[in-house]
Amino acid sequence: MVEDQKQEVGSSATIASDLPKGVALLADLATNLNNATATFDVLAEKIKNGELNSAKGLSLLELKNQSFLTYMANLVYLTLRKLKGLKIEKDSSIDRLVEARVVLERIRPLEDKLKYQIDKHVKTAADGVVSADDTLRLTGNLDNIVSSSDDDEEKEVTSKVKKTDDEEQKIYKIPKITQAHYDGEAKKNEAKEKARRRTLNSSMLRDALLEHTEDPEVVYNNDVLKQRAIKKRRELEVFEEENMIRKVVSRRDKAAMRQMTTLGTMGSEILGFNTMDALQHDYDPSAPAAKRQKTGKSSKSKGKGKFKGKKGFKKQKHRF
Amino acid sequence: FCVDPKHEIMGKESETTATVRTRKFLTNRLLNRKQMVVDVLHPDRATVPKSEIKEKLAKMYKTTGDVVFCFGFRTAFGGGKSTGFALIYDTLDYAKKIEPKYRLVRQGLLEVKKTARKQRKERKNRMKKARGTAKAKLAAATKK
Repeated sequence: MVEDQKQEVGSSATIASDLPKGVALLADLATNLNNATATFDVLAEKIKNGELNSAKGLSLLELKNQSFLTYMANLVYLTLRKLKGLKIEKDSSIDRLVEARVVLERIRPLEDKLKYQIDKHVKTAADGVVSADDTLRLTGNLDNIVSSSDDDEEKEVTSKVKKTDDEEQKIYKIPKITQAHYDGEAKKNEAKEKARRRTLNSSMLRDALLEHTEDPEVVYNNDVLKQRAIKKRRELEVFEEENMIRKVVSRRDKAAMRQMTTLGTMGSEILGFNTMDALQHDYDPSAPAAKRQKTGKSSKSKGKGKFKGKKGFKKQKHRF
Repeated sequence: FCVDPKHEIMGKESETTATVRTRKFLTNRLLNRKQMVVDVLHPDRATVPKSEIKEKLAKMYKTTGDVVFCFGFRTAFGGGKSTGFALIYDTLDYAKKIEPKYRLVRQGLLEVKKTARKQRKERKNRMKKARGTAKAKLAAATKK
């Protein structure tokens, strides 16, 4: 008895607290319904007049719309039944609801994949005009790309007129797939330029020209071959000081660092016999270098050289 | 005919002093030390020993000599100048924790006991003859 009384009191308390909420909700319900009916009337008019024809639209979206409608209809039916106090157990509308729900959930990822396309089409439809920066319009015009095979056909036609079939079979034609780079001319000029530059910058010429210039003589201390060794040593030094560690330099590298100053490595630079041929206009670097003519002096010196060996010694003795 | 006083002294001449300069000084808070590159100028003299450099650095940085570790000294070609590295720890504890063992041995803070090389090799050869638990027994027996 006491418990029942308590329950009653409890329920009445909840009723008292929920009552104002309920009233507010009812008011809300009324306004929302009014809005919904207004929009629905407009939509119904449009459909009756045939303005919203979805025959050319995306079938996926059509399916989505239809499944939404069935879902809503069945849901409303069940709500009505509940309001009347009837049971909704084992009702067939529940199966239909479940089916519609599943379909909607399966459509969702597909729609996500098509989202970009749909948005673009919607935008185009809304504007009535294709947008200026539509990326689809930026594809190339395939007709403008002339295929190499077309050219080939043309040329083959003309050549067939000129030559006989036998001759054509003998001559091997390189298949023209892409443009072939021809660097014959560039290389020749480059080699010539290089040779020219080398003679101009050689130490021999430089020393010769020094006599005739009035500029003050600048003495640089850059032996080109030594620079590499110097650079390497500096790099090593920087590394060692940064990391507080001594690197083990192999014997070969150590020797290389020290070796750069010997005459063996720089000999050709100092004592090189550079000819002035590269400065001539008709210099061809690929052609073999012309041999020097034997002058009178050279033959004499060669003569002396001949008698240097053992035999030469003997010969000399003979003379005397 | 004059007698050069320097030549009179027959022993090693440490008369000319060496100048110690430090470069690239960096306080390494992570390892509780100061690290630097040391330049020693010693004209007319052979390469300065590490102990001397250690004392000089300790005086410069107002610490004791036992937390100063110097290493990697290389003399430039021709002599007169050598370059190396030095580390000065905050305390000796940190030094013992962080420094590699060989440098602690050099300083004298650590003793590594090693049996003679010959002994170790002989032991290994004896162990080769045994197999399994007998090997372990032999190892324990000859471990001394």
